[in-house]
Amino acid sequence: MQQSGGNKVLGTLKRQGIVMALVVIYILFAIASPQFRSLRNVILILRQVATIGVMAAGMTFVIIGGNFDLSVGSLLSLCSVLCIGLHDRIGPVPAMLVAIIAGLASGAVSGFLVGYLKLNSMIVTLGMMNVIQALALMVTNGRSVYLEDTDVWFCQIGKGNIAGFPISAVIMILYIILMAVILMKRKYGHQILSTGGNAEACRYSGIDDRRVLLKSFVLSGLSAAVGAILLSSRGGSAQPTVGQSYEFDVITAVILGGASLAGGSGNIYKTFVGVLILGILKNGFVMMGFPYYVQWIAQCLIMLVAVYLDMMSKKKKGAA
Amino acid sequence: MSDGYVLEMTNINKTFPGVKALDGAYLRVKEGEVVALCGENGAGKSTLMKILSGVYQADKGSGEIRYRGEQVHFSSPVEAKNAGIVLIFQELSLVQELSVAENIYLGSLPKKGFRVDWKKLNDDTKKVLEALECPAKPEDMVASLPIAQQQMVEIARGIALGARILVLDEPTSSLTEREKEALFRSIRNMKAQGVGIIYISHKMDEIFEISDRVMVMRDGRPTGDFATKEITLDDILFSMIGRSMDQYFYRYEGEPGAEVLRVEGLSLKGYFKNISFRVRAGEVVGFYGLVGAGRTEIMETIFGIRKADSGKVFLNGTEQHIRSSGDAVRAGIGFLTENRKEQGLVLGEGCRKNTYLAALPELTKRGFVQEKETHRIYDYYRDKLGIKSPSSEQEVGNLSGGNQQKVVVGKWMAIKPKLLILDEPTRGIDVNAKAEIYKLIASLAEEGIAIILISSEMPEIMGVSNRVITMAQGMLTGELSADEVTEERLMRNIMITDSTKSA
Ligand SMILES: Nc1ncnc2c1ncn2[C@@H]1O[C@H](COP(=O)(O)OP(=O)(O)OP(=O)(O)O)[C@@H](O)[C@H]1O
Ligand SMILES: [Mg+2]
Repeated sequence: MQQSGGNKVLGTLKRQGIVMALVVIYILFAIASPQFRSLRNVILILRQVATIGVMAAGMTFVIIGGNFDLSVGSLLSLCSVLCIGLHDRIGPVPAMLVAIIAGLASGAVSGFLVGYLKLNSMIVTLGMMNVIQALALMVTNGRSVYLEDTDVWFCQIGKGNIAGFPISAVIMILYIILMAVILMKRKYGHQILSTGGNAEACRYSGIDDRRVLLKSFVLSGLSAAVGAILLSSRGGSAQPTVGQSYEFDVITAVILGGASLAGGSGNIYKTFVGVLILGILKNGFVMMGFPYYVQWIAQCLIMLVAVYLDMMSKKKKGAA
Repeated sequence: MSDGYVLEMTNINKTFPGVKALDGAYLRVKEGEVVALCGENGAGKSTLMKILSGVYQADKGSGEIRYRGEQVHFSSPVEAKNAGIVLIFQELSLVQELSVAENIYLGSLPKKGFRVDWKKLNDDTKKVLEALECPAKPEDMVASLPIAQQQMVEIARGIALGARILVLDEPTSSLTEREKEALFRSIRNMKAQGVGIIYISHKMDEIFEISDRVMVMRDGRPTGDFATKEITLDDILFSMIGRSMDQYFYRYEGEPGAEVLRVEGLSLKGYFKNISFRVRAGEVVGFYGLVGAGRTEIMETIFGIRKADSGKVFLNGTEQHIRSSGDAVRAGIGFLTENRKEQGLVLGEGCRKNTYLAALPELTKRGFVQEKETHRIYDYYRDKLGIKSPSSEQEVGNLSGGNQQKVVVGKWMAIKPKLLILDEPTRGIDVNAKAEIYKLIASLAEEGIAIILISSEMPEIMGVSNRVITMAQGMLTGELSADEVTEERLMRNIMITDSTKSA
């Protein structure tokens, strides 16, 4: 039983379509703008996508579980102001720990409401989004927070380089590899994929589907906190609304990466390709001198294409 | 219309990636004729019907469909339906939130000006339902009806659309005996009106009861075309599997070992009351009762999906406090559920992954899944159970029904259970695979596994169990050993009600 050669090529193309899209978009911008294709710019893009890259890796788990997490944007804000606001008072490591705990806790709350109480994740995280935004504004009294001195090692996380390569990008890549290992090699990864595919069958197979879903939100919360560390350490300051609309970018990247909206499938590396596409679009439009809001339109179009493709693939399955 | 055939499909080929599902298949139906379509799991029966109705397209260059004397080609099920070809699959396609009448006349509601003419709608519907002896009312919400009546509503829709061909793909697999009788009456009704009927089933007694002609398929090829009156069961079986079958039921007759499961006074309000029984190692205990007698609910409680109000469960003599299905699996209980698609399989995932779903914890070392081990497990059970799939990664949803069921059986064997609960394990499985499953049950018993078998098929319960426990309305009504069990006794025991019991 072998697939014919032509079929194989077609199948590979379809599976790797998103990678092809990345290459095509990159080449288009590279032709259009000489500045764009400089090595410096490539490195800049990597630095720019570090936060979204980390967050999208976490979001992939939530979407595989068949849910959404709309609260990551405001969580990014809250964790950022916690990092910066506490840095000078309790030191960098404790400040980062507090941010991470906040991320985990917020994920656990959403995860409990969705996993155990079976509430709709859109509604739950929409509410969480506002609650967390309110908290971020409360702890800062609505003002931006700054570090006294930006010459501290904490800021090296966001600004520094190792051998000419941004530290934040290195952290992002390591984080993505870690998440990919969890998804593909660890028991939990197998469980979330199956639970997203059919939670009831998992429940009847000895898997606690509620807990599996809860954990996916915890991972997403953790990722928002790590993203906040990368983001806030870059400038040494944080606004309480800095994360606004990040959830849109993050979810777009995951969907571009081919994770099914109905749950049950997704791939962290492809999510990362989705992240790169968004990053290149943002950067490329700026390089070419378009106003920044043009990218929103482009992003929306791409998102619609991705969702359409997702639907078509499901239709085909539905017929089978 | 040559020779009175309403429908003639000839020389149909269909290739899926890795599988040739149909290879020169043909099918002919006359007006008012019931043609039974038989074949092992994966023989291509459903695929042939899906080509007829436009769900799939036959391979290029192959095949011809002649319908009412003309060559036709349907590119979607809607087209086929409009032409009078109505398919009824196990998965029903009714709109659950609408009424029976609305469902039947969906898309062609009678109008009075701009408004729906409700009176005419309900009157018309009533007529159709009456013709089918369907007890549902036009105003009933579809979601509130039992599956059998939903199925009839779907048939009614076919009639209302003026169906000339009705295809029923394993329609009785979730029906009770009485519901099946009603379905058969409506089939005869339609037959009398000249409708050609294609009936797919693995239940041979039904095929002999309802069909005029039997078409057999094997590996996508036609292997037999008989007038039902002129043949015996063996003829069908021979065409189906290419050899004759020597034995059908298997029962392990060895001396049972120590007690594995003991249930004492288990009660759950609204479902069952004061249930006590035991199962020993190497013993197959059948549970027989009408649908709704509470058998599944008892098992779900033992398995930790439901929580009992009172009562105790012992495994190997120690009391268990099973609070979740995870606890149950850890304790060595396997539970093959009656709904394969909803509770048994993750349809979008591969065969291999489904096979190790329940055994995942044992295949994990320090949190990492042992990939190699999972391949070994799948290969082992594929060979042992004869799972037919183009590859280990093939989506389970693309397998034929019987092969899907084998994957579920493999999933539970993979946890090496002490106690295995089988709830309707042969639903939708062909005769040959059934016999294999029976053989398997016997060999599992021989390995010392305690087995509970829930089945609504009397021959199966009688042929496989060492002991049969009967239930009615949430209570145990008797226990019969393999020597004592007879059809009459079983029937009597499951009909016992509160009022008759005191007598
Ligand atoms: N969408 C699909 N993709 C790949 N293979 C398929 C698909 N649909 C069916 N097949 C394969 O085609 C063959 C015929 O399947 P089909 O469902 O027609 O069998 P069947 O006779 O209806 O069996 P059963 O009695 O188990 O329902 C099987 O080998 C099956 O795995
Ligand atoms: Mg079938």
